[in-house]
Formats: sequence, C-alpha cells, structure tokens
Amino acid sequence: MRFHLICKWRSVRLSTMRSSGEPPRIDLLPGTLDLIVLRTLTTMGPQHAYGIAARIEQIAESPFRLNQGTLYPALVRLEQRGWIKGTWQTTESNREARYYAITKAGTRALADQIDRWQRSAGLVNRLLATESD
Amino acid sequence: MGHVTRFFRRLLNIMRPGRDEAGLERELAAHVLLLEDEYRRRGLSADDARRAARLALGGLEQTKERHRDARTFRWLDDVRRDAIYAVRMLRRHPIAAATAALSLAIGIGLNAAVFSVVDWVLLRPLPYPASHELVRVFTAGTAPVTGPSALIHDEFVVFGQATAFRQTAAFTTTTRVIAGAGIEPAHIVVARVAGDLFGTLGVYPDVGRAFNDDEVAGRTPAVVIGHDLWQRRFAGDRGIAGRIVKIDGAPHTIVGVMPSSRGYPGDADVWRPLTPAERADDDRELAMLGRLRSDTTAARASAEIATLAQIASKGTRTAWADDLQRTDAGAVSAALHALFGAAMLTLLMACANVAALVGARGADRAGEIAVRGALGATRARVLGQLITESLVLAVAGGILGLLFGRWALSGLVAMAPVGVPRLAEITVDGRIVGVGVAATMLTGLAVGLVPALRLSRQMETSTVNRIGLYRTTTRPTGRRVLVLVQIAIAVVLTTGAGLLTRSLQHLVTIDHGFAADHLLAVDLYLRGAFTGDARQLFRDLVANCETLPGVDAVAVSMRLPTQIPGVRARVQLLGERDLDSPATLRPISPNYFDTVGIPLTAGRRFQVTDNERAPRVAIVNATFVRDLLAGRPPVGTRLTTPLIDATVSIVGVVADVTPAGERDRSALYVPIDQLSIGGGYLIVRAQGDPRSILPALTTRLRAVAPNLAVDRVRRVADGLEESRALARFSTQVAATFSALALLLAVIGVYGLTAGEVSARWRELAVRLALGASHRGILWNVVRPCVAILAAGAAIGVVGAVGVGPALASLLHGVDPADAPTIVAAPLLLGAVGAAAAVLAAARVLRADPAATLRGE
Repeated sequence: MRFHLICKWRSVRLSTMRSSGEPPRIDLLPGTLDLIVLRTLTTMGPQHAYGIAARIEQIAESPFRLNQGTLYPALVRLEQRGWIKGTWQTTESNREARYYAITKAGTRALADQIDRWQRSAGLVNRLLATESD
Repeated sequence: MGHVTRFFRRLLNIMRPGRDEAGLERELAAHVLLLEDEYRRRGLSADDARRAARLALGGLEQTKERHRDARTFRWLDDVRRDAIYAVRMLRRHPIAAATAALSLAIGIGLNAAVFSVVDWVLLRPLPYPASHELVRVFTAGTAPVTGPSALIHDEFVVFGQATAFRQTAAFTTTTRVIAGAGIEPAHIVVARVAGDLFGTLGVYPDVGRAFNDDEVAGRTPAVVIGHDLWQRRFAGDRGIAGRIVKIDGAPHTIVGVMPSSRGYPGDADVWRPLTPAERADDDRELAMLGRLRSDTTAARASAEIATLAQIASKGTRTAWADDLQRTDAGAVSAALHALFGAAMLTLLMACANVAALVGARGADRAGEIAVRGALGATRARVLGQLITESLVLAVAGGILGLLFGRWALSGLVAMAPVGVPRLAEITVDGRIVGVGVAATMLTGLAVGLVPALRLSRQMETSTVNRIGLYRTTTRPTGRRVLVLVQIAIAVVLTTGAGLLTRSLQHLVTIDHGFAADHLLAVDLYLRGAFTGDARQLFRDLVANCETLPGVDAVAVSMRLPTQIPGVRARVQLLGERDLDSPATLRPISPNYFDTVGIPLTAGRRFQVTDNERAPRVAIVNATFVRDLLAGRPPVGTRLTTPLIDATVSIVGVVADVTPAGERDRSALYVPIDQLSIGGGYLIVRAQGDPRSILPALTTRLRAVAPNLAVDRVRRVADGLEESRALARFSTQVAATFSALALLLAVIGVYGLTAGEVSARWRELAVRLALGASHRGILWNVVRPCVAILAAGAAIGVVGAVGVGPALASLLHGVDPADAPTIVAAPLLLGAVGAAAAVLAAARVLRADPAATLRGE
C-alpha cells in the first residue's frame, strides 16, 4: 500500500536518485527531521552535518539520497532552541568540521518528541490496521 | 521555552545580519570537502567528485538561503534591507528627499496639532461616566418666537418630570466675593444649583462630601469648592471640610472639594444650592442638564419636554434637549471643523507633492526595476521595496511632523480663544501619537502605492535591452493632475484665509465709539463688604486714584462701555404718555465721558454739583434722541422714570458707544449721586501702558477700602478682544495654513516643471543646437504649466465659492463671495506658480546643450 503524507509547511523531501525511474517520494512530517537529528546525535554522539546525513541515508536502507542541504534549517532551528550545540573540531581524516552535540535540554526535548511521535504514529497505525480488515 | 529562545535569536539575527554568514560558509565548505573525500574513495575523479558533492548537497546557494530563512525572519530581514536601500536612495537625492520629508512633516504636523484640539474639544467624551447620556435643555418662545434661552425654576421642575430623564439638575453662575479669616477678599464664580448636579454628572467631591438634604433645602448655607480654588486659596488643605467662609458677607460652610477638571460648569469656583427665595423668583437664568435613561435618545427627550413646555406655557413655549458636549463646543465647533478641513487639505497637498516626487524618480528607475525583475525578483518583492521607500520617507516626515506638531499645538492653544472648552486639558498623549503614526503610515502607503504599482507593472512589460538607451517617454499626466489638484486646494485655502483676514480687518478698524486703549477697569463689588455710604466711597476712590502717577483720569460706572445691555426702565416724557420702548439706565460718575472718551455732542457734562440734593439730571445718547425723542430738542426735555424719584431734565447729548461694532441702545446716563448703585467698575485711564500702574493702583485701593475685593482688574480692550478672539484665532490659523499651502503648491509646480524639462532635455538640447531661441524654448516648457495653473485656479475658485458658506459663521462684515478676495487669491497663486515654473525651467536651460549631445 502506498500513501502520501503531504505537508506543505516546511516539508523535507527524501527522494531517490533521478536515474532510478519512477521516483517514490516520501515527504517527512514537519518536525520529524528534528526528531531524526536529535535521535542520531544521542545514538552516535557528536556528529557533523555530513555524518548525520550519511547516517540517515544508511538507516533508510533503500537507495534514498537525502538532499543534504535540507539538514541545515533543522540544525539552525535546533541550535537556536538550545537543544544542540555546535563546535569546531577535526575529523579522523584531519578535515575541520562543525560537530553538533545534543544538550540536556535537547535530551529532554527528544524524550518529549519520541513520546509524541509514538502516540500519533500508533494512532495512524491502528487506524490503518482497522481499515485494511 | 526553546521556541521563545529561538524567536528572540531570530529577531536578534536581523539586527546583526551576516554575523553567522562566515561560519555558514566555512561549515558548508567543510561539508563539501567531506563529501568529495567520500566520492573519491568510491573511485570518482577529482572533478567528478566535486560535481557529485555539490549535487548531493543540493546547491550551495540554495542551502545558504534555506539556512537564512531558518536563521532569521526573512520578510523582516527584507524590510530591513529595503529600508537601508531606501535611505541610501534618498541620500543620493538629498534635496528631493528633504523637500518630500518637509512637505510631509508640515502636513502630518498640522494634522496632529489640529487633531489634538479637535479630539479634546469635540471627540473625547466629557470626563463623566456615560457622558453620552448627558444633555443640555433649552427652551424658546413660540408665540412670539424667541431664540434659545435659559429656564426659569418652574420650567426646570416641570421638565424634570419627563420620563426620558433619569436625573436632572440646573445651575446659574454669578460672580461673588469670597472672604474669611486668612483669605484676601476675591471674586469667584458661584454656581447656584437646583436639583442634584453632582449626581446627574456622576462626579462627587473627592474631599469631604456633597450636599445633604438640609443643605439642598437651603436651611443650612453650605458650599462645595472647586479644585483650583482649593489649591489657590486654601493650599490644598485636606481637612478643609467644616471651615466657614463668607460669600457676599454671609457665612457658608465648606463641605467638599470637587476633583480637578471635573466640576461643571468649568469656570465655577464654588457650588451652592439655590435658596428658597432664589427658587421662587422667576429669573430666566437656569441652565438645565439632564441624564437620559440608557434606553432613550435626546430626540425622544426633546419630544417629551416640548409637550410638557407647551402644556405648562399654554402653547407659547417649546423646549428641546441637545448633546451636552456638542452644545458646549458651540461656535468653536464650526471653527474647528474648518481648521480640520484645512489641515486635511494641507496633508493632501503634501501627499501630492511627495507622490509627484516619487513618481518622477520612478521614470529614472525603470531600468533598475527591469534588472531586478530579470534577476528573478517577483513583482510583490519589487512592490514591497518601492513601498518601503515611501514608508521610510513617511516615517522621516512623521517624526519631524510630530515634533513640529507639538510646537504647532502649543501655538494653537496659546492663540485659542478662551471660549474653547477643555483647553487646559489638551496634551499630546498616546492616542494622539497613535493617530499621528497611523496618519504617517497611511500617507506613506498613499504616496507610494500608485507609483509603485505603475513601476512594477512596467517591470512585466519592459525589456531589459532598452535600459540606458531610452527613458520612459510616457507623458506625466498623473503628475500634472496632482499639481492641478494642489493649485486648486491652495486657491481654496488662500481664499478662505483672505476672507477671514478681511473679516478681522473689519473687526479691528471698527469704531467702538470710545477710546479703549489705556483703560483699566476694576470690579467694585460692595455687597457684603461695605455698609457705609457708597457715594462717599466712590468719591474717595476716584479722588485717591486720580493723584497716582501715570493716571490720566478716573471714573466710576455701573457698567463698562463694552457692555450695551443693562438695567432697562420705562421712560415718560413730562406731560406725554410712556415712550414706546424702555431706555437703558447707565449710572456714572461726573467725569466718565472724559475718562472713557465718549464725545459730548450737545449740552453739558455732569458736574460735582449734580448731587443727591440737586435737581435730577440726565444725559442721553444719540440713539435715544433718534428713536425716542422723535425730533424734540433733547436738551431741556423733562421726563420721569420709575427708578428715579423726581423729574429728570436732559442736560446733554453724547455719541453712541459701539463696542466691536455692536449697536447701541437708547440710553439714559444719570449721575451715581442721584441713582445709588451697589457696585460697578472703577475705570482708570492710564497715560501709558495700563499694566504699569497696576501695582500702585491696587495698593492705593486696598488702603482706601481694605474690605473690598480688588483682585479683578482688566484692560477694557481685553473685553473687546474676547468678541474678536475666535475671528482672530481662525484668521491666524487659516493664514498659516494658506501660507503653507502656497509653499507646497510652489514646490509642486517647481518640481513638475523641473521634471518635465529634464525628461525632455535631449529634445530641447537638439532644438537649441539647431538654433531655437532660449526664450522660445522657455515658453515651450512653461506653457503647459501655465495652462495647469490656470485650470487649477479656475477649479479652486469654484471650490472656494462652494466652501464659502461654511465659513459664513466666522465672518464679520464680509460676504463669503467677497469679490476682491476671490479674484486676488487665484491671481496670487498664478503669479507665484508661474514664477516657480520659469525659475525651474531657466535653471535647467542654463546648462550647455552641446555638452549634453556629446555626452550621449
């Protein structure tokens, strides 16, 4: 079953590469990118934007290619809210990069967001389960 | 919490644009490098890796834009950027910008000032609870028909029964003298009250209490005093209740103090209930107030009391109720409406000027707009930018305008006639600043919107390749219409000012019938302060004051020469029936005519020997001779009148007095020694400025009569001024407005001509190079302006004739369609406008045409 969750407001688009024919688009719900970034930072520790993008692509399992620039608004938003904090560090390959780490406020916010996501996802899933019967 | 922090961080980022820009640049560069590393590791060439990295990021610039969007508020940032750009644009054309800002400052400032007065006097509710329910009641005769008048007590009682009123009260004011232990005798305005005035208004004393039943019934004399008197005479003593003061010699207990600026009527110093005797007399002197029930209207109340009045008067009188605030504003309201109209017209002219300036610059900017469009700016974005520019201009004008307005307001208040209610309250407060800001913004939109729409429309049609080669050659029709409108408005304003000036001129050159300059009048009020022989007191006062240095002459009179009405008495010529109409009795001391400067035309003056033991004598005025004597020789005629105990001989004739043009009534001047008076005025003619003798005069009066209140001393000329004050005020303001309007119109014409000349400069340069004469070119350029001037002036004249009747109530001795004014105003405008046009054209033509042609 295919479905579109379309959100016009500040939607973030995960899209397949143009070469793979019919592009299945999945628009993320607003705020879910925040959740994804925060979760990635808790599981992996401090990461730079490229690292976060690579992690999301890896998790996505299918040949999705994230338009990596779309991460930046989320990073600004989270940093302005005080949920993450960026510092300049050097990578293993000896390149400089801005590493983002989750703050205490960010950890609290993540718990809150996970809770909210599970509740709304649970509702949608139950709804779909009853309808497919 | 995080959301609030973010909001402020975004806001903060607007203040410091570009602060995070370097960090972002660095971060993105690092990101691209990491991606490149990855792609190279996968085996791509360096070039391919770089391209793939950028693709994966989704475009460097787009990412930056996304970052900025999230970092700040984009629209606010745009506004900031546009504002900075606008300021830069304005600074590049400082003269045009300054002209526009000053035009707006004049328009906005005048409106703010005039609006403050209009707001306080006409719009703001009176300072009483539910003040819209308050009405003033009038009555008038229907058979015979008379003008609106005050009420007698019986009418007040009858009207008070109307069901439309929840509560009613009435009052009448008189001047009395207050005295008491530790208080210097002083004149005060006493409001004598019937009914519950405080209850009707909904305002009560804030120190002490209102009257109790005993006091209302008049059994115990009590007063409530006003806030000003309390501060002035009793040093704001909060324990004042219970203190005894003497009013006209009779003791009264102070029971309360009214709150500041809340007493009604505004000029009252003291309130006391009417005594039973005062209620019983049928003096038509009560001003009645009513508070309507919340479910009714003034019209319904009017219908009801009209019926009551007709029944009570057996069909000879009617009555009606009218909104209290409107009634109080009275004649001032017409002047204020005229003023407000003039201020609005001035603002319109200012807007026209600025719109013309903005529009003219628009022609130069078509290229810039086209480039912006080609680079991807949307029409909305360009529109926003252009309007921001107008708003920046308007804000500059608005700030200047509010400063100018404060100054203009203090001028207005200083010039305003005393009759304007609530003058002391007028201040610039948040409400007025708010209106000023709104006016500014609206002005900005008004002047910016039309040119901006036109320019941005051009953006869609214009082609970039034309930039720099051709200027837009559209005829400046819009601009011409604007200037035309300006001229018309200026003609209307100038005509109005001209009419008012001629009216004032008429009032100033009026022959009052006496010499008002150098005259001082001291109120002498004897009741309660003096019990001896008044005649002797007056003689003493005159004798003592005559010897003061700087004093020319001194007299005593019951009335001032500015006061035509007075005590009227029937007159019977000896051996004949009563004369048709009564004469006004004017008791005076012997040297009154010399002191005041009324010429004697026949017979003799009064002498000291015309005392109480001598035969009764009188001097009549010219109107008396003309209207009552019907050709009999005045001197030697003998008559009787009820107020004088014996037959009176006319011994002389004097000219009429005509203060401020008022017509005199037939008057009989009699010596105060033969018709005793209980009070009047000491009239002093000074040799120089009457104010210079004031201190010595006051001291001398106190020495002669220590119990007398001599605090009320005024210049007789001030009494004449009062009647002219409204006219003078309207004239000064209108003259100021028309001068400013003239200035704005001149700026408009100058700008129009200069604009047209520079737009046609290439063509004109070619003509000059081919040998056209400067004079011919000048005429060619100025001609359309002259046509506009003529058309504008013609429309203005029509407008002025149409507006004239609205001014009629402010004009004295001048017809609203006064021909000289209506001819002069457009001529003046035309002459000044033509001069401005020639000046503007000549300035541009002074440049060298050859240089221009070579430059292209």
